[in-house]
Amino acid sequence: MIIAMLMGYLLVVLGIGMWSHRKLANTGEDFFVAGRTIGPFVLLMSLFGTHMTAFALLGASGEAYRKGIGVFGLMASSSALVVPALFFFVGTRVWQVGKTHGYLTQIQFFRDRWQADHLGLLLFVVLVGLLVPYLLIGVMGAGLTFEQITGGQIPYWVGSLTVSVVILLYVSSSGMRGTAMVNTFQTLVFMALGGLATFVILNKLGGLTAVLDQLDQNAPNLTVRGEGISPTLLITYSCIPLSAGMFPHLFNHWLTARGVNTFKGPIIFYPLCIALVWVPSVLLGMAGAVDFPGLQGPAANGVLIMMVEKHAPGVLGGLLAAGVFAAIMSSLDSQTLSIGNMFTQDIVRHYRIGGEVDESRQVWWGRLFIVMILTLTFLLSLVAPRSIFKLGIWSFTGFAGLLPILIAALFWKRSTAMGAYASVFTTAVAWLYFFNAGSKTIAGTDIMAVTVVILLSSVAMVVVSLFTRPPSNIDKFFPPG
Amino acid sequence: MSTPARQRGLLFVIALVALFIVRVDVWQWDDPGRLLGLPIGLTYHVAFCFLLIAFFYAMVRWAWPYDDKTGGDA
Repeated sequence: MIIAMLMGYLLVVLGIGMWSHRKLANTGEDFFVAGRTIGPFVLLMSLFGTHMTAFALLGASGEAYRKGIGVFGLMASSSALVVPALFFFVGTRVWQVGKTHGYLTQIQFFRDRWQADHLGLLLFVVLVGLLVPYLLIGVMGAGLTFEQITGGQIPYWVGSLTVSVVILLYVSSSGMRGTAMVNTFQTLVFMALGGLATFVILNKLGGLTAVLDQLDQNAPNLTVRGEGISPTLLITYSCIPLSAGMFPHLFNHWLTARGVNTFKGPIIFYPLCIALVWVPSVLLGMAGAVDFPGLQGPAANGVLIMMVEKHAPGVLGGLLAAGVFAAIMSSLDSQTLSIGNMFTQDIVRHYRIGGEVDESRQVWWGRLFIVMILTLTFLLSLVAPRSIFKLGIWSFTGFAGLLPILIAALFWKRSTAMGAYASVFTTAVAWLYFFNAGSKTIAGTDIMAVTVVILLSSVAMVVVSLFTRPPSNIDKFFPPG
Repeated sequence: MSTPARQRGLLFVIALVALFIVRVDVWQWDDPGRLLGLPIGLTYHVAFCFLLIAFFYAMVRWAWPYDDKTGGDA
């Protein structure tokens, strides 16, 4: 039953993606940013679906299993505050600059803004380097979830391959149009099914009040923040969602907006979407502590699936499995497209590999890169160690550390290419130091390492910019008067 | 951006910082009580999300830095 429903779901996704192909114009702008025609609802759904990975369902319930209600404040309400603020201050400005100058990638903007070709190449390497582990854990997560949900009937590699092929088909066929439409569908699916699963499972356990009563008796630490999550951690964790400002895949989605006013809806309703997804995940994770006490380490991340298998096998199990895949694929597709976009625009087109790259050739190159990236990611997923998940999580810190570069490029006339170089190198050094230290917090404190990385990166940007000469084309980005 | 719009924008930035501060609800950190059927700490943060909807509505309504018709800077 679950396998049939999953296959049915993947066929629907494929159908929506292929259907979007009808409207595709054979130009780079249409293929990579949907011709900048996306309206507010699809923009909200595709931004949210792209930003939320399967972690919002499986990882969040696992964290809530271990740490209780504090997970919502730590990860959800921080994103509800920071991400719409990023859309307001950064996303709208990015859209405006992108529309005015015809940019399709971050690198095009940075190169032009500071007249620095090599800086663009450096940022390309860093951004792709940070995004690949993120992409890899998506494909690996799909395989592992397939295997777990079907009780081992579908092996890991078949699950990874199936998801990779479905994404490859609709992304390479319809580009951003298909991706945005599929993301909208998938976001609605995982929002609705998370709520449905919570309702059914909590009812089977005697209702929310009964579950909370049992938690008060058996695991009272889960209904308060206690010592598991400190106020310092809550404050400094807010720097993690700043990574959204530098995600190439979110940058791509910002550029798809029909107009700057299209951002209004996503800014207002983003916190609602966060609450709709994270409240069920946190409640289910806590209920799991009553239902399956004693799970240790990564096993806790499977608590949601274990509860579905126990309380709601059959149709609901199949539906929830579809919801998990919706969350995985709605991020994977945008990440794949954005890397394909960067290779096409920032390498092939910029360096004129194979001569002038006209509009239809951009689409051709984009499709080629999408096929190559997904094939490579799938092959890597067969040999990569599970510890790669740790690297994927650390990529958030890296993206957040690079945000001062985008802020400076958009808002600070006096910023320079050398300042941006200094910021990239400082982020890289600080990131490597904390990654090797192996802890997300500064030793002996609850201060998240990402806070220090952002601080150092900002200082490097400001100090070095003040000692170097700004570019001569400032009027292009900051018109006088 | 005109001066009144700039002042309103500044006001909203200050409000954003205030929201950042009140999010850290240390006064009920270890309170095991319930409110609206949920642990009080969870209810608080869910309510905070709804407050953010109202806040961001007000922000795009009164501090939108772009011209509604042209999409250029206001």
